[in-house]
Amino acid sequence: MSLRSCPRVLAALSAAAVVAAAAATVSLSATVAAASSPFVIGFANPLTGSEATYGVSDEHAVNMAASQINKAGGIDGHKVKIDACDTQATPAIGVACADSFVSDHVNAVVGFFNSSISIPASGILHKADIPMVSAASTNPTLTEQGFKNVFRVCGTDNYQGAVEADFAYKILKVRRVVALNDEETYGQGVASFFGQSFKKLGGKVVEDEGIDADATDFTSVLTQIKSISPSVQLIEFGGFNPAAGLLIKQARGLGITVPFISDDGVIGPLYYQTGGQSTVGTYLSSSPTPQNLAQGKDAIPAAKTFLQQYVKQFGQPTEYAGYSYEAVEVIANAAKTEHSIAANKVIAGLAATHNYRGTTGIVDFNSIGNNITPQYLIYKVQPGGGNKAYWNPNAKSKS
Amino acid sequence: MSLQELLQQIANGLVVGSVYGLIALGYTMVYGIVRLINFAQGGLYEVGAYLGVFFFTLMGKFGLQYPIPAVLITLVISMTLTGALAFVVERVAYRPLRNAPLLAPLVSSLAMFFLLISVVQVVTGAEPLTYPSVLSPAPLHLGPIVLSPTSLIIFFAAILLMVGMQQFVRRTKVGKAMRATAANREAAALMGINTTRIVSLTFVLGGAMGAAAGILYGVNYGTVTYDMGEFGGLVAFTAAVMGGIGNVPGALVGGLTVGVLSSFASTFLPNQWNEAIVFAILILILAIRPQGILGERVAERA
Amino acid sequence: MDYLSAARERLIRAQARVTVPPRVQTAGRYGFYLGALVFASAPYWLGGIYYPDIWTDMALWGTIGLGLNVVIGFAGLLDLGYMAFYAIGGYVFANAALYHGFSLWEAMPIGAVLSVVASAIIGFPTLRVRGDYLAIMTLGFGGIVYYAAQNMTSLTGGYNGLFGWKTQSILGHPFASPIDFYPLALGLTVVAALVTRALRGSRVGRAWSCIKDDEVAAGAAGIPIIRYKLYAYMVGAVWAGLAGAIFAVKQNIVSPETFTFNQSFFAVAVVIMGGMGSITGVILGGVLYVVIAEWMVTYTGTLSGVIFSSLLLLVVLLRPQGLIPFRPRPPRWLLRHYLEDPARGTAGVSQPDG
Repeated sequence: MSLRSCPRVLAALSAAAVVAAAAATVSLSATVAAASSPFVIGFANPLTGSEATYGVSDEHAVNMAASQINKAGGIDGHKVKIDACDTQATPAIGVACADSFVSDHVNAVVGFFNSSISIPASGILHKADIPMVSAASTNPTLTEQGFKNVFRVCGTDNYQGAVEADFAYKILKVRRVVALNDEETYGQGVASFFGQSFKKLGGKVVEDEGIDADATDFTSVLTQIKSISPSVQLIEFGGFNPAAGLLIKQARGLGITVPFISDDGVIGPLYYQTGGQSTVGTYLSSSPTPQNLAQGKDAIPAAKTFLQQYVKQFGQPTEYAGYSYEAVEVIANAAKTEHSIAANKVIAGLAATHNYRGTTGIVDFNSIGNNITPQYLIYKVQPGGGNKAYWNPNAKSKS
Repeated sequence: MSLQELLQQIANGLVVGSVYGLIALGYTMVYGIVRLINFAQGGLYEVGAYLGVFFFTLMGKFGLQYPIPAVLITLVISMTLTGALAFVVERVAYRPLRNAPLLAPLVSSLAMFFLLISVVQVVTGAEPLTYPSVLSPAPLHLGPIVLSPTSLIIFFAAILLMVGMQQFVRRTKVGKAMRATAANREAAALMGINTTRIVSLTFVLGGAMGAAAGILYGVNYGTVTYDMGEFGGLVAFTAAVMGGIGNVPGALVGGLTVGVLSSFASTFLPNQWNEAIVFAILILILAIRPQGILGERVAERA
Repeated sequence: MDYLSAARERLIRAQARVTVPPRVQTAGRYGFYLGALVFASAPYWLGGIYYPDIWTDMALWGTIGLGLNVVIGFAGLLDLGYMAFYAIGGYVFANAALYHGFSLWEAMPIGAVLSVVASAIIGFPTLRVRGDYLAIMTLGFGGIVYYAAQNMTSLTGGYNGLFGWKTQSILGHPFASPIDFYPLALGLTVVAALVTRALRGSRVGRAWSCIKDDEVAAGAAGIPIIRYKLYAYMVGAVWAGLAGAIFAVKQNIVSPETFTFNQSFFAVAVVIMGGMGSITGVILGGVLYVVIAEWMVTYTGTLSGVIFSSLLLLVVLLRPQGLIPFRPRPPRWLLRHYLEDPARGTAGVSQPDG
């Protein structure tokens, strides 16, 4: 008796749902089926959330590259189109981006910024045979999985960790350090390679601990470090902001004065904003920023033009913007040299990329897809938050 | 653990705990009067923190450089606005449901909480915002303990607010009306107390305390995130239960206890387990001693 | 006595007087079945990868809604950590598949059993506390599972999650594309609907309903309250455990951020919006959730939280019985008519905690 009015309501609702779904179909299929075969590059980056500063800057760079290629006639007539997807810096959402790239049949992918996303996503793109060029994921595992479709234009964590260790041991001349990481793939990678290299050089890692990247209070862990502090000469942190800024601020607040070194997940305005005065004098290892590549006597001409054009349109780029730009250019170059936009041809073209001169220097992919000419510098944070290139490992080895 | 480290950990815990206690005050006061876990409190705390960033930055733009007046003005404006928001929350999400079964206001306050943090997320684009640095980061040495001047001020400000609120409830006429309403709403109404207005006032005061907590937290850590209300709200609720929900001085005791406990927890366990430990403490207390350390001020009715 | 009881009695009486001709009823019912069939088969005629994927999500959320409906809708227990069981199902599958070579079929029951065990362990101490404390305790439990997923790296892969298992298959047919998962997910929803529907009408279901309406009276009537609450909690966990495994296979990855408090909140919203206790209601709640979430992601970005919470708030305030209630009410004008009855005077004065 009491269920009387129910079915009718349901019928009406389900009918409405079908109509809505059908309407959605029409509108969506309209967007998918675009003009005559563009060359679609899927671009996945954190476009919202705490890492969006980098992600959005990279998006500008990628769009800039696409429009420049298109202005010059595209890839053998095929216009480059960017299909952007927000990973929100979380693996499940990022992997869903990879799935959507597969279902959209994109020609190539630039992404996924975070190593923790790039690694599982690369598996999905590998199954679908879609070429992927990473502009910012530095974890070594990404290219060590044996996937032929995966390349990266940036450097790797082991190299970065080693540069930090070299700097700490040889330049700062410290022997006992604490290595912290934020438990994410990237931070763990840098911190553990830092630790390994530092031990190899003869130093000692007194403590090695993971902290929660989402937390804001690190005083407990810092108090512990302080209690052993006479013997600790440096704190290294592998991870991102705001954790890094909070960490150094709270460390200085507790009276811990030892040098602090972190990585290129940290470099950028947010570090100074969160850490304030306390960040001044700390060290950051990083791939050269676009600004840096365009400066000084070794300035790269392509980097200069990139920087000028970027600044004119969007203001100052963050550090991986140049690499993101480069990734699109390298893909376009591969398709052009192979005279094909077919996935396997683009992959072959990428694998054959050697001595390509772009915005970040030379791109030269080895057999597993790593760029064998990465650069890392040690920066020192200046009063006011600017970063100054402080030490160049390559320059030193020359002398 | 050395004595120095022990004292330092206690000090760290007390600073964090004082902020939690302040949020807990909002839970405990509302619960005392209407027997409702006002989930929205976590959202009000977060909104307060964000309003704080906004006004603080604004004052910086108008050239108000002296940190203490700037903090005070920010506090007053944000607490007022958040109090007004709490008033709206009560009107919209609680009052129409005050005679409904328990589930309804619980779900509506949860929805309200979620609405508040989602709005913050949308408005700010989910990026963490930073408070301008107010005081020099130079550490203060108090015997064996080292604290930043900011955290010292935060601690005393939070305690001051909590003691003030307690005195307000205990000594003023309105406070007396609040206590009467908490003890027996009908009887209070019969005595001529406008209980509807008292309920509103309680929400407003709770929201204002939450906003104060948000700003103090922001000033201390320098960074606010759109999801701070989630964890902050839950820890504060743990504090409220620990002190005995409905018990105003209990909020302070509970806050400080939770702060110190979580500070110690991360010395014995890896730091990243900190949150899980707070949750575990919460479950344990609710299972073993739901009336809290000091006991609930208001006897539970069937 | 809650505020609805008095009104409800009058409404049921009122309903008895509103007669719908049997033919219209039958037509309505068949119309509904037809509509449901057309809707459920949509991925097959829409094709592609996108629609089957979305429809699989709908089926999974429908199942989540049905499972949580047992806890909230049948037994009246507010569970804010329900996705913990979804997580357990997913991680159990991932571990079993990656390290022990289990297939999805073998892993699913294990995940369900472990979810039930976890629900019993957490339910036993928590179900004794009063309703609002229970909500908080389940919230805490959900939090612990989330942080455990993030920190117990050896079991869960930590922040990065687990991925890279072999493609699952049934009878030699591989689960590669979303259209392969869809029948599986839909099947689970149908089974969940039939089982929970049967339970609702059973002795256990009636006991739950008594506990939900008046715990004290139920206790006085000799119903072992804690035991029956525990049953509801355990039965609810089964479905999340099963759905979690399918979700893992579909996503290719299990990682902590799919099991946050937000997700548990959305699960509650699905049940409340759909209509507590109603089978069709919560399934439609799940469908609605996915439609809105997907639409949001595609067109508005981050607004989904705002929309959902406002919707939930509106439903609680204006239509507390949900969109498709288990106990349907007569039309609004009739409702108003009866609520304006001078005899309603008793509804307004009872205590909120009374």
